[in-house]
Amino acid sequence: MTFNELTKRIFMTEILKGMALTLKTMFTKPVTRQYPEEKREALPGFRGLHALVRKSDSSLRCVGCGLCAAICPSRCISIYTSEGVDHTKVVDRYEVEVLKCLFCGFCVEACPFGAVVLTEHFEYSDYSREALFMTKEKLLNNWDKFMAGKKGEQYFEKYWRPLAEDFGTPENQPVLKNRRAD
Amino acid sequence: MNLVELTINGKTVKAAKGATILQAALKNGIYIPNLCYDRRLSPYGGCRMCVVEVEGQKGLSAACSTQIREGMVVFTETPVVAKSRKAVLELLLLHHPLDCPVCDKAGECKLQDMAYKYGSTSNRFSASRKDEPERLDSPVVERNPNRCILCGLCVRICQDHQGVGAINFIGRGFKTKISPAFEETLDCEFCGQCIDVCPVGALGSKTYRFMSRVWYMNEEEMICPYCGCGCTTNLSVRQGKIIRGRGKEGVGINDGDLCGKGRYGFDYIYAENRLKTPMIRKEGNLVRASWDEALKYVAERMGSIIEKHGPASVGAIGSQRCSIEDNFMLQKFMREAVGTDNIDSAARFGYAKAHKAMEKSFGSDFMPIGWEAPLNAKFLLVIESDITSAMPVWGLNFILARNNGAHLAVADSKETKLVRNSSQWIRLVPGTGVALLNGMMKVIIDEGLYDKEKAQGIQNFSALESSLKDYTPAAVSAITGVSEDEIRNLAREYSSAKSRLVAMTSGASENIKSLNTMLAGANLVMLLGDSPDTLQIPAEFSNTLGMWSAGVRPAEQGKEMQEMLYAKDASLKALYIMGENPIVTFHDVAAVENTLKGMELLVVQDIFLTDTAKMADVVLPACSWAEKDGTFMSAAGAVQKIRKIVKETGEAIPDWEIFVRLSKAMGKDLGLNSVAEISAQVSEKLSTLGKNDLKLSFNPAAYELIENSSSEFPMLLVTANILQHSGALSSLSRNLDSVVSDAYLELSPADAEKYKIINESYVKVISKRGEILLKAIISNEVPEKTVFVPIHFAHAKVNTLTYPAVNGGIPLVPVRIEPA
Amino acid sequence: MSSTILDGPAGLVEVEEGVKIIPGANAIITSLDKVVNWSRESSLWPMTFGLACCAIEMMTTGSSHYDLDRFGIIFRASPRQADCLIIAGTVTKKMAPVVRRVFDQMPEPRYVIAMGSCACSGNIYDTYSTVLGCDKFLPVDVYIPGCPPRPEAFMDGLVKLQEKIRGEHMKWGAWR
Repeated sequence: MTFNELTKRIFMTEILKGMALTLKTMFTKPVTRQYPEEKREALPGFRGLHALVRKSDSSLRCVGCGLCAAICPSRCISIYTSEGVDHTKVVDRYEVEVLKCLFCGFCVEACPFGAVVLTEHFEYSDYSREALFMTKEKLLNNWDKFMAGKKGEQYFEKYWRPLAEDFGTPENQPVLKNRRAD
Repeated sequence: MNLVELTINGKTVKAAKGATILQAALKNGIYIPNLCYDRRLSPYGGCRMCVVEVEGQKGLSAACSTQIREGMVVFTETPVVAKSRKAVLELLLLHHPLDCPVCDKAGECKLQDMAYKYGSTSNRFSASRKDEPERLDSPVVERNPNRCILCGLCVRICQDHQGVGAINFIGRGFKTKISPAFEETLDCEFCGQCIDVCPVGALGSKTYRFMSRVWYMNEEEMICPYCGCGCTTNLSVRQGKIIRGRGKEGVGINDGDLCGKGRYGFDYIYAENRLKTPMIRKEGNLVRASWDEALKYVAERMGSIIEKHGPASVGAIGSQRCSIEDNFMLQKFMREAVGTDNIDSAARFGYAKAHKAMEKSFGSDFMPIGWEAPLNAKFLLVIESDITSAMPVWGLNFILARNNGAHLAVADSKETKLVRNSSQWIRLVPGTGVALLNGMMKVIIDEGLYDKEKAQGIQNFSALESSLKDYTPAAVSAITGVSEDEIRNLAREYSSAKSRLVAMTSGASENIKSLNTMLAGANLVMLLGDSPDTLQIPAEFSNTLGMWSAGVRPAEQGKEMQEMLYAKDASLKALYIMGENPIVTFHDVAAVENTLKGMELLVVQDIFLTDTAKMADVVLPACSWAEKDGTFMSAAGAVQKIRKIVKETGEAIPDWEIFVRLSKAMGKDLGLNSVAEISAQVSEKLSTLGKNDLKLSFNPAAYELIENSSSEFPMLLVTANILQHSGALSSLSRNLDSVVSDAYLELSPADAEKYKIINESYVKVISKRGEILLKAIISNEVPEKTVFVPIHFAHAKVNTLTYPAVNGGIPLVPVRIEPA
Repeated sequence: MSSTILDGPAGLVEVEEGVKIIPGANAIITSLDKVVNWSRESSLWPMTFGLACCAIEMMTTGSSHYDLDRFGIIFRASPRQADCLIIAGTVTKKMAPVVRRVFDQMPEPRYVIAMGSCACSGNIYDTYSTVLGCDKFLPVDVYIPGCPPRPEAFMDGLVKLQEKIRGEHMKWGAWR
């Protein structure tokens, strides 16, 4: 036993050091966040519950290309399209099985139109499977609830961008030109 | 075969002499990107995507149009090649819209794949894009000229392979596009082959438009339910629903070729009048019942009829659309549980004739067609048949044979598609094919062109000789309307050809041919010493041959169809109809209706509530072809599996299972409880087919009309198949109905003028059996004094006029037409 | 309390919905349901049963930054003492019988929380070895999607479970 160790043992410095820390912490503010009352702001790029983007004319921005579903690792997205009256593509059903989703955000990245987003909402637990099966209407409501207004605009400006713009797709694209106007 | 050895990417491969680099590479599992190459077409060299480097050769060569040489060294993926491909893609993408998100081709688009692999993300050039309207005006096929990359595959497959030539390049330079003449609405046979070959989304199936993305679907290989070709169609299933059909290279006997029926006709299983539950007639109305109730009812009623009138008072009609297993169970049920031999089918009016002719002439009980037979003959003679519409994909082999240099002579009264693709058109009066054949034989015998040694050794040669006495070229010319010289020349050319083939169809709905025509065909074959294989008569529907072989025909003393349905005395008390609709498909509907009404018990087992089912006492719902396991036998004799790929509709169960349950309800177990068990017994039965020795014999066949035209009924009505339909089944397919959904009457301009009929107006067609109303279409394809009517449509009731042919006579219908 | 309402001649004061005080006497009157549910929701003791990555998030939730003790939620290491089973992570087919056994060992009343997408539906593991959702063999009360759910989301799930317990009716007899 060395001299140092002996003194430590006699004067109980280790314990005193620990007790000092405890004493110090007693005078600091508690770290606990009072969750249901006090909510933490989600950090930028947080991937929460899904939403479908509404255009300014409140219609669906999604064209039903299915790229989100193609890239989805857990295959939780299914899209049903059909031909509309004016021979355009109409999205009849857009369904997300939230319970299967792993919130990777690939769908958002794959979407060439910026039509699907992951909102900052995370308090989505529920009692039944059905409640967490998102239909097109529910997803549009999510947009209205969590992303409408400035927030939605900023979302795309800051973090997610339709990648089609990177490819220099011409503005006068015949088939897409109707879709571009938002 | 001469093989050439060459090196591709350091791998030594062998390929047939005369092949191109692309063919050699693809055959050996080396992929070279290509946009304008198709296995069925000659090299085009248009897209320049398949460029490769050949050692010792300056510049790059197009792999699709460079023949291989011994010791050639080829590199398919070098930096130079990749750069060239990238440039080609850059130029293609200059015009091609990047609308993949709404393009149905995305995911299986060749251009997309190549752009992904070789293309650049930017474009150095700029040009204004095409802004053509989408063309959705024609049925089934949609065209989007903006997406077109002008590879010309659709143009070439339509012209060279399909023999139609409906579309071509229009305009020049930047404004070039694919279109029908004068940019009119596409109006072709709607086979959809162009859709399959299109590497991009410029041509698409309208029925599939925006229905699904390719990665959502499972593709299932199925046998087409329509004609006897037995093509494999690849059906795309999403969430238990079939939404698309297409052909795939290397799959099935058809090798990816399909007609409109195989591609679009699958949707009949979603028709509105599908049966979902069993139904029993109570107080005059059909009411829903449970399976137990319905089967008990049938068993009791059938039992009491057997007890009262004996088993011979029960009859059954089998189906050419049901699987072999279903038909096998029907006949087993009838023979073992009921104890009757009165089993027949609609094939009595169609394939039975062919079978009878083959049996009488060759002593053969099983004569399937040879799929490749047309390709092996140098002279093909087709008698009054449009094989390209009755057997569209087999018919392609006739066109291919013609393109390969064979002589295709078609004797027909109407200008059919096969006629347009023939080398020689012998235009005769409808129904006189037998006279033409007899006339040919007369010339051959008189000029001694036949195989004397063989022919004279065959039974009945002298009878044939004497029966041909009256068929001098002059007499035949008077009957058929073909000139004497043409008959003589045809006989000479046919008999001197290196290899020969006589082909005709055996449709139940056709009334220009009969047993005698087929016998005459067989006589001609034997006279020239050819093998029986050179007479090709295909079975009509997907499982006609299978049903026939499974034993759905009277074996001994049982009643045939004529006795069952058309006999004056009502000896039949109960009739069991499986998957057949006599009210629509059988001739002389008044007689049929009368017989059915007189039945004490009429059981109809079908997938639809057909007109016949509406008359039934009990209706039992069965599964359609895509909802059960089983096998079909194609006209070529191939037994092919069908699989359950979608869920059954309502409470429907497979036909074979109905018989299993029904026999148990009658207290007689047939001992078979699964498809596998039935299949085992069936294959045992089928294994004996075609094993007997051939016994040739001539059967003199005279030309006679059962009813001839008169002053009161001066026109002859010819019933025919149309390309987009097959029997009455296809008329329940919405896709096919969008092409043709109604019966019409084709007549010549001269007759139209004579009877004062305007195009597309309604006319009254009157025969001694009744009258019907049809829309008239004035057509140059039709000869004078003849009207052509397709027979597929229930509401047109064409079968009120027609009548069944009992013997060898030709059952043409004399009619009179009046403007309505 | 100014907002209290006088209730009838007895002079009961309702302090909360369904909870009344007898003024003067040191007594509270309420339904048995309420008392039982209150005691259950305020001492929800979950069984520590981490299966995969979600368990890390579950541990975080137990730490002082989130502090589950505030809700009366204290992890127990024995199923005999637990009220609630948190399936935190991928349930493999080999693990499923064990999970079920743990559940069976828990005394009534017992609750199940499926935490994370794997427990809810198998997530991306649509494979031979994974149970596609633990509701295939357990009666799940609350589903919390997320991969993994962040601690707040998990706590939200627990709060939802408490709410559920609060709404229970007549679930205190031996016959349950």
